[in-house]
Amino acid sequence: MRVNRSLPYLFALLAALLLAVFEPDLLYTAEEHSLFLDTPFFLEQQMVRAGGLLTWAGCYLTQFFYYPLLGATILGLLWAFLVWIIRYTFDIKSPWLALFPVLCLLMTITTLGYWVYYLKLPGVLFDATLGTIVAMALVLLYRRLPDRYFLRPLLIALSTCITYPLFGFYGLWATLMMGIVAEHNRTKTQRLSAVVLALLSIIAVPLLCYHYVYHETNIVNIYWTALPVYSVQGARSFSYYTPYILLVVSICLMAVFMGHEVTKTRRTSVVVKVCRSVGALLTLTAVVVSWNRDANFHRELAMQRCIEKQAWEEVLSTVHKWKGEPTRAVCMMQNLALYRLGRTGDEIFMYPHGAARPNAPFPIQSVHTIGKQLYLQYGVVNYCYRWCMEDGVEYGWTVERLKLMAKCSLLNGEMAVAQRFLNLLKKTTFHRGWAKRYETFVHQPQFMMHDPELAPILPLLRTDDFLTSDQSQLEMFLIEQLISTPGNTREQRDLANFIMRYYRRNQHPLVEK
Amino acid sequence: MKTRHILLLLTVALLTACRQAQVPAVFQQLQKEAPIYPDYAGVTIPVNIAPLNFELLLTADDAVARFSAVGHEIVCGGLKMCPDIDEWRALTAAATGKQIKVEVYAEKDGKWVSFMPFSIEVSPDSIDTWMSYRMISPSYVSYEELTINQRCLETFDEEVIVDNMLCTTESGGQCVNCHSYQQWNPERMQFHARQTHGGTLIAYDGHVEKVNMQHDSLLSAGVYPAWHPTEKLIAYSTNKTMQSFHTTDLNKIEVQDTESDLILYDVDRHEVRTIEQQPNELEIFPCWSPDGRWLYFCSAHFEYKTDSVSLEEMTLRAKEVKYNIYRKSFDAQTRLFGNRELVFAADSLGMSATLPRISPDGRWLLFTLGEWGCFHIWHHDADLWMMELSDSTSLNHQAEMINEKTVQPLDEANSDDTESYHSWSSNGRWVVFSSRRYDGNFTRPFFTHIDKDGHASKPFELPTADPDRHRQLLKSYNVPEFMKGPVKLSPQEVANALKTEGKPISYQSK
Repeated sequence: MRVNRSLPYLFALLAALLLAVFEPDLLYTAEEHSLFLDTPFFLEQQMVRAGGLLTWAGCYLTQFFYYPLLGATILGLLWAFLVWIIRYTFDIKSPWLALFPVLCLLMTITTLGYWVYYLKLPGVLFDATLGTIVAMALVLLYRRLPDRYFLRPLLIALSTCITYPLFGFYGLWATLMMGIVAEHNRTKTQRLSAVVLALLSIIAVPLLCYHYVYHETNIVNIYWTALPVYSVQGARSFSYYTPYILLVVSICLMAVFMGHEVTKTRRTSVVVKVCRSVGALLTLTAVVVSWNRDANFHRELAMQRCIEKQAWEEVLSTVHKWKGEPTRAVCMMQNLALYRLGRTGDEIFMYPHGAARPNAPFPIQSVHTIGKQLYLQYGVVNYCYRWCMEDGVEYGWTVERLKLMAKCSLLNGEMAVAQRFLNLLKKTTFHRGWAKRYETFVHQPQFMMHDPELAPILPLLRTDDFLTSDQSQLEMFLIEQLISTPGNTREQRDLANFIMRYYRRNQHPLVEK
Repeated sequence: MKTRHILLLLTVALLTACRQAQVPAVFQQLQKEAPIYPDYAGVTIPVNIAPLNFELLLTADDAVARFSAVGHEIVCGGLKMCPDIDEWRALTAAATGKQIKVEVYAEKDGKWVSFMPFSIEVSPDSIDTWMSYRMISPSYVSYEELTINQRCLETFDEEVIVDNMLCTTESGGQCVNCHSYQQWNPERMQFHARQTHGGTLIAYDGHVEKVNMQHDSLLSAGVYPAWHPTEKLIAYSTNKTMQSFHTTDLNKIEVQDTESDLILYDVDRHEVRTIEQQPNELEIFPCWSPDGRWLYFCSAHFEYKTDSVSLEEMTLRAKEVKYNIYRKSFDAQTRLFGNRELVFAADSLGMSATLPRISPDGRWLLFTLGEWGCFHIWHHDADLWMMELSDSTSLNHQAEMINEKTVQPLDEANSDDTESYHSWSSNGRWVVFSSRRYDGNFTRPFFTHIDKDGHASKPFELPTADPDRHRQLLKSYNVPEFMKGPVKLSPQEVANALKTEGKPISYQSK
């Protein structure tokens, strides 16, 4: 019986560990596309909008995905705690029911796909989990407060004023649930006043904050702060909100039906059991079906990680791990690996080529995904720097961008600005060692000639300059660069010729939309 | 008994925490300067500036700095030296017209060393109390969060005047730029918004209005602004702008105009007329003389070899675009301009001059000089130059002028890297300018004192409460402008005004 009781908690932990097993590259990429700096200024930058503390904490925890298993374990423990707090808050008899929100949280991660490059919300992988825990804790506090001295209405008003600035939407959600559980107050007046107060607080506090506290959020978005915005170029992808909607609705339903006991007859007992089983089955099916298993996406993530490690053979072996037509991003990375290994002419025909459309509900431009790394590896340093800056401005500063910008600055001989990026990376938990290693090149640039990553790029740096633009067309621009390099090598010519021939033969448009 | 112990412990802890930093009695004197950021050694500061907080850039266990002048002394401890603001005010007041001596001591493994002391000159010339600037990432095309901020120079208070995110939705962003004031007056301000809810917002003595300056007869809506010093008139350039990117040059970005003209906007009549629209001339950066009788501007002669305006040709021949400084007389009664007169022929030196700004006494013309083009913030060679204006300013003998020192680089303020946008204080004794001297990529505002003979002092960087702030900030300070006080509009009021329909303008041909 005791084992049976603890099983849901183990399941919650297991759900997160599944991520470490099946999505280590996604978790690692999420960490690389996040940033946490151990400085008061970083906290200050997060606190300029409602939900700032939540995103700050989300960023803090995301950094542990540097070791995917460690990050997943932390996430799992939080989910297990969530199961416990949901049970305890709503007096749920069956702990399995409390697993449903956890599975919704799991789905917010497994459905991400290419959004990992495009979401602007810092710490997105942890935000929903932390926000839900905070909301539950507040409801629990509300329930445990003595029903006298106006303590409960006071908590409703106070908590909205405090938690909305700190936790954004989740603070409002907590207030809503307090309003719902107020149904269990003693008198009708108390119940009504709690509901009215909760609704007033939900409406008024964000408005007051908009007018007197914050200036970073458009009034149309004040009720949704700290939630991710699944939108690129103005087109929203509503289906990605499904796990969030299910999460909110399920917990609200638990609040509504809190304390409602089903009269136990043999018949109702069977009905309840059947309902639970069907519900569990449907939920698990939803989790499995919605899990993003796109081969190219996973191939791209794995290959990028290999490139970062300079494991070129591993880049090539990764290509064959998945089947199906590859995206141009996959092809470009495999071509780079062959180029680096000096085997373009001999082996490029042995690898799959294609132009499959990335599986995302919006156009993916490779300059935003793998483009920066490719520009760097081919020695087009200014354009790598440019896209790091563009993406940093639009999607936020990340470890990956800072590292690439530091490398670009070192290769360009801009040591002072390289030092700026390295100083920032020295304020991270897991990248300070990397930053200290690269800081050596600031003081002794000649050592770059012996660095396994930078040394092969140095001969590719050109001295001639053109004023131009890549128009976000990564591959076309790279070919131009390879062809126009004065005294280009056979390897460079082979690569450019092959790609041009590929496009002519397959009549693929060489233009990314 | 237990409570008493706890109280005692708390008192001891509190006293330890509040321990006054002390200058070490025993130390080794080093013959080198203290490695500090920002570099405040030997700078001249206004008497009313906020404390010059700085940090020590070395690995040390502890550090102490002593600021002293005429019987006053402040001692700060820790690796970040942040004098108390009241003590700082008393010190600068006592040191007015004199120097503050700064001694820095550092401790490592129990041993103290002392660096060579440096001095800070305190000028009796005060500085305007507020400054505004745009906070922008040194980006290329993208933008997300853009704000126009104002900062009290006597304290560290910073406020947002405009935040584009208040008008931004996921379907459309908004760029805000070119804030400008009439005679440093925060009640008389204008700035532009582009794209979502685009238009020009003009605030004048409490009346806030959004203007839609788009017109078929104009190349674009108004771009670079210049308020007439007394009339309700604003001169603008109108520009067809393009951006391109260097493949290897460290200047990285180039912004060029394929066409540009000058216009005059009448704030009351909502009326625009052309000031300059010469063929084969690219006019830009208008600036009024303090008496309002002259409009200075830059203009580059450029003839397209192809039949029409060509972006490609402009990109290929970018380095041929050299701007000179011109001026036109203006009659405020008739609103008529005279013919253009050459003021400074930068092209005869093989250079390009931008951003002319006249000192409030009308004596000095400050401008930026770079090798080519108009986007000097990304030109590492760009420097500030100063020209003495006289009645005989119909001059094109640049070599003679340079020999006679009537035009010269502002060497004391310039660095090896970019100096660009600049603005005079209302008393004409201070200039704030953009500089990329620390790393060549991120712009920070610097202040230099200009004496009556036009000599600049060693500039100092805008002080911040946390001296490390500018090393962590991945944004640039853009278009620093002095103000006599703060703008009273809130960002929400500005956003509400921007969300309204812009008032259309009427166009009068020249």
